[in-house]
Amino acid sequence: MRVKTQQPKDGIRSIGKMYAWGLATVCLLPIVFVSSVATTPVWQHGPWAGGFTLDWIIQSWMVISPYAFFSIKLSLLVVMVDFIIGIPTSWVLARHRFPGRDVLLSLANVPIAVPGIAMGLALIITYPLLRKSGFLLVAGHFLYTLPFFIGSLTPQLGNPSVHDAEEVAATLGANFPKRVIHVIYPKVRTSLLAAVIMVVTLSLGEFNISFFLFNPQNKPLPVELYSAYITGRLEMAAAITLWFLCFVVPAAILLERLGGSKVGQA
Amino acid sequence: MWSRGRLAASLQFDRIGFTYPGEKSFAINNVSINVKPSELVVLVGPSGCGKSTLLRIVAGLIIPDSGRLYVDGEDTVKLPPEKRCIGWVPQNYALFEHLNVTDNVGFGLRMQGVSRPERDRQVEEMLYLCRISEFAKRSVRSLSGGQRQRVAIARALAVHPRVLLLDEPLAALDPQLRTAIRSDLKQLLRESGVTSLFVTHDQHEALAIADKVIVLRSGKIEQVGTPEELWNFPANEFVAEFLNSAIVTVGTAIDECTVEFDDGLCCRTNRNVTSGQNVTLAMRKENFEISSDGFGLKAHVLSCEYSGGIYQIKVRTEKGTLLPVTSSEKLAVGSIVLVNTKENTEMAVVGAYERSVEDNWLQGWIPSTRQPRIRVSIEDS
Repeated sequence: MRVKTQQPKDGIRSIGKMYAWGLATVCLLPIVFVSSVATTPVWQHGPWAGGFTLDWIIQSWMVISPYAFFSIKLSLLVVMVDFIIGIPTSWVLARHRFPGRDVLLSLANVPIAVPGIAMGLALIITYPLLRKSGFLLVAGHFLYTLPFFIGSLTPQLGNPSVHDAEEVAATLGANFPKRVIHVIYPKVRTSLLAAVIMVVTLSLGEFNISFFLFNPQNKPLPVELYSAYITGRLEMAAAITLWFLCFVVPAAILLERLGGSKVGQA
Repeated sequence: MWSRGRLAASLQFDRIGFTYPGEKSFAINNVSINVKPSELVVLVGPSGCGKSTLLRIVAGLIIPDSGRLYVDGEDTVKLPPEKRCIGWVPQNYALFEHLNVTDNVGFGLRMQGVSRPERDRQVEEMLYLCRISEFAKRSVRSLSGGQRQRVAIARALAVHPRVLLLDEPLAALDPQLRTAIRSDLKQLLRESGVTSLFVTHDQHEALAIADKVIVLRSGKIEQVGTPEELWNFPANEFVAEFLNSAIVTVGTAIDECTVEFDDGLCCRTNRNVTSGQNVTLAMRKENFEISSDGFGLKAHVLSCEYSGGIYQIKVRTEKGTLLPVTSSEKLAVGSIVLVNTKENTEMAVVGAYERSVEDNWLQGWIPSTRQPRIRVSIEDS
C-alpha cells in the first residue's frame, strides 16, 4: 500500500493564495453588483426587490447596438492600419541594427506614457479639419495601439529560431515572399493573433482619445457608455456595462490563452 | 550514387576577406581554399576562429568584403542564397516545427516548384537514404536529437545541392550518441557523393571523418591537409597543440633523425632534421611511458585523471619540461616517477615541411625503425 508523503506546510505560499483570492474577489465584486443592478427592475428598492428582469438588457441593446457596431468597425480599421504600418516597423526593429534604432523603439512606445486626453487634444489642435471625417479618431486609436502591436510582434520576429528557419528556407530555394508565407508567418502566427486581439480589445475599450475626437455620427461605445452614466438610469447604465464586458472579456481571455503575458516585451 | 540531379561541385575560395560591421579585426582574413568534387572537408578551430562565418559566406548568408567564391568555376559571391543551390544544416538544425518530417524534407522541392508525384518520390528516396522512413509522418517536435539531425540533412540533400554545409551538426548531441552517429553521418555523406564542408571544434571528430582538414585561427588558415598529414606533420605549435593535444617543446638534433630534449632524453623524429639544429617537437602521451626498469628521467606527477581503464598523467621533469604519459596504475600527485620514451616511438616535428620530400610517408604513414631509441639512465644524466 502506497503511503502518501506529507508535504511540509509553506506559510508564504498559503498567504499568497489567500491574497490572490482576496484580490480576485475585490475585482470581481463590482461585476456581480453591476449584473444585479442590470437585472433588477428598480435598484432603489433593493436587489431583485421587484423580481428578476431582462428588460434593461434588451432595451440597452437597442440603444447601444449602432455604437457597438461602430466600435467594432473602428477597431477592425485600426487593426488594418496597424498591419500596414506596424508589421514593417516591427520587422525593421527586430531584424536590423542601425543608428537611432533605440530612439525609434522609444518613440514607438511614447503613446503608452502620454495620457490619452493629451494625445486627443494634440491631434485636434494639429489637424482640426480632419475631426469631422473620422480619420482623426482612427489616427488616435492607431497611435494608442501601435506600441502594443509592435511590442507583441517584435520579439517573435527577432527570435533567433525564426531567423535560422528563414535562412535555411532561403538556402532551400525559397525567395522572400515564399519565406514570409511558408516560414515566417507560421512562426509568428500566435504573436500576430495576440497582437490583433490586443489592438481590438484596446480600441473597443478606449475612452480618453475617443471622447476628444468623436463626432455625433461616429461615436464609439465607451463614449455612449459615459453618456448613459451621466444622463440615463442606473439600471440602464449597468446593462450597457454588461454588454460592454461581453465584448471585451472574451477577447481578453483569448489574449491570455495565446500568451498575452509576453505582449509588450519588445 | 545518389546525386542524380546535379553532379558534386568543386568549391574554391579565392582570397576571401570579411569583417563584421562595427568590428575592427577580420573575421575571415584572406582565405583561399580548394575543395574537390565529393570531398568531405572539415573546418576546425577554436570558438570565434571564423569557421561558421566561412560556411555562411558559402551559403550566401554573408557577403564577403573581398575575394571570390567559385562553385564549379562560377563566381557566386553576388548570388542570393536561394539561387546558389547550397545545402545548409545549421547547428540547431532549424527544422520547420509546423511541418512533419515528410514536409520538412520536401520543403525545398516544393519551393522549387517540383510536381507533387515527383516530390513524393524524391522525398521517399531521401527518407530511405537517411534512414528516417519510419518517422515520415511524425511531427519533428517528437524526434530525438539524432533523428532531427537526419531530417535536417535529408532536407538539405533533397534539393540536390552542389555543396552541403554542416555547421557543427553533432554539437547538440550527447557524447555517446555523437560517437555513434559520427560514423553513420560519414557513410551517409559518402553515399550521397555531395561535396561537403563540415564545421566542428572537436579535433577528434575532424580527424575521424575528414578527407581534408582545414585548421583555422582568428580567421586565418593555419594548415590544410589530410588527417594523417596534420597528425604527423603539424605546421606550427598551434596546430600541434589544438589538433594533436600535444605538448610542444624544443630539442636539439643530435643526428638526422634523433633529437635530445630536457636533460638527456632522446627520441626519434618522424622526419629528417639537421644535426645541431633546434627542433620543435609535438609530444603526445603515446610517446612516453612510466619506466619500470630503472632507466628514465625523474619527474613529479602533476595530475592524474582516470579515463576508463587508464590514467592520463602529466609530469614535470626537474628541468621543468611538461610530459604527457599514461599509466594503468593510479599515481599520487606529487610523487616522483621515472619517465622514458616508448620503444619504436617517433615524435612529430612541428613546422612546415615539403610534401614532395616526404610524399612516400604520407601515402601510408608507418613508423620507421631507422634507429633504436636512446635510453638515458638517471645515473648517466
